[in-house]
Amino acid sequence: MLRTLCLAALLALMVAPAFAQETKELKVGDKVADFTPRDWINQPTFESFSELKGDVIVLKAWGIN
Amino acid sequence: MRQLPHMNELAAKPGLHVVGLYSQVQPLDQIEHVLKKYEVKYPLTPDVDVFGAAGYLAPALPKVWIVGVDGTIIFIGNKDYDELLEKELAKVKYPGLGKASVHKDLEPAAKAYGEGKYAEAYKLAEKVYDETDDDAAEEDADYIMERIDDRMGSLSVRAETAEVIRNYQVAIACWNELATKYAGLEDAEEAPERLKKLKDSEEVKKDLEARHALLALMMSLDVEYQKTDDSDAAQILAFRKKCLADYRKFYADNKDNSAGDRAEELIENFEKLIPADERSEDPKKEEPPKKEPGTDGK
Repeated sequence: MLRTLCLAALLALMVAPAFAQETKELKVGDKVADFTPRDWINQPTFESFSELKGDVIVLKAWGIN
Repeated sequence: MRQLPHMNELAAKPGLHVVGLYSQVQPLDQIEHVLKKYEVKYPLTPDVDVFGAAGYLAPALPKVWIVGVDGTIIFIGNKDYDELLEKELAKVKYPGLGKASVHKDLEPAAKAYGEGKYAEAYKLAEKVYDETDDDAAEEDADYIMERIDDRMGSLSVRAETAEVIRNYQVAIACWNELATKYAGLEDAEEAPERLKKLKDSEEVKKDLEARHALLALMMSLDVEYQKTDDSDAAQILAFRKKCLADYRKFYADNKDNSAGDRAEELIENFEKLIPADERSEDPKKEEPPKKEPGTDGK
């Protein structure tokens, strides 16, 4: 499981498995969930996915390896 | 990674927005090398804790969530979604407009809007609004003009606010969108000059470089963190002390920019994680971190 060092995670001394248990995973039919990252690569100009309503959004989780 | 060109193709389709959720731990320069190699232009974030907390959990990669035109998730998985995607995209007649149909008199305006020709769309809608006796046409004309006005207003406010708080990435992105997509409209007139001012500013350049350096530092520490043993308290403490030392050094070199502000927050939080008698207030007393390629934030 991925362990990362965001501020909130460190403060809570959480590791990913514990963190994952407290988060409700999205499922088909759910409204798209907004999030506000501290860091973007290729900064978007929208702040909320609601601004894109009417269009289609593809979110992809990926990595190099 | 062979899917990156495919994602690029998707991102180029009108009415479709791709957002990357970078879900592994690597040094920033490695990730940027791949993004440059594959010419990835769509937005992506490495803040896995943030998007994970929102419910975008991916124990296995890659993973895709498709959001339909009604704003709900219509697919979650990692393959066999092309047909569904095309079917959903077919519903988007006027990308970005938020409306699937308009009065026939407004179709040219809506089409121009969908093609990103907002000045043309505005003028066409305004003409119909001024000349029509049809309430439905007037309503749709007003909708199109208001949507353009609202978007310009939002972008301006965002850009101004971002400049005040020194989030220059956001400011530049917003002024750029105004200057390019809304050229010819009165409310976007100042955008080219505001954009140029930011891009020409040495202070802005230094601030952006510092933010980039801090992100690189944070991600390099993430890489090191993966090697620690959670059950070994001494290891965890040593690692936290190293983080504190690294962020203190970064802060000392960046007190006058927004990355320094963020480093200060990180320092405060790491100080809370380290017992007071284990902390050194003087950064020079901390053992200098071993410099390894890619871990010094530069």
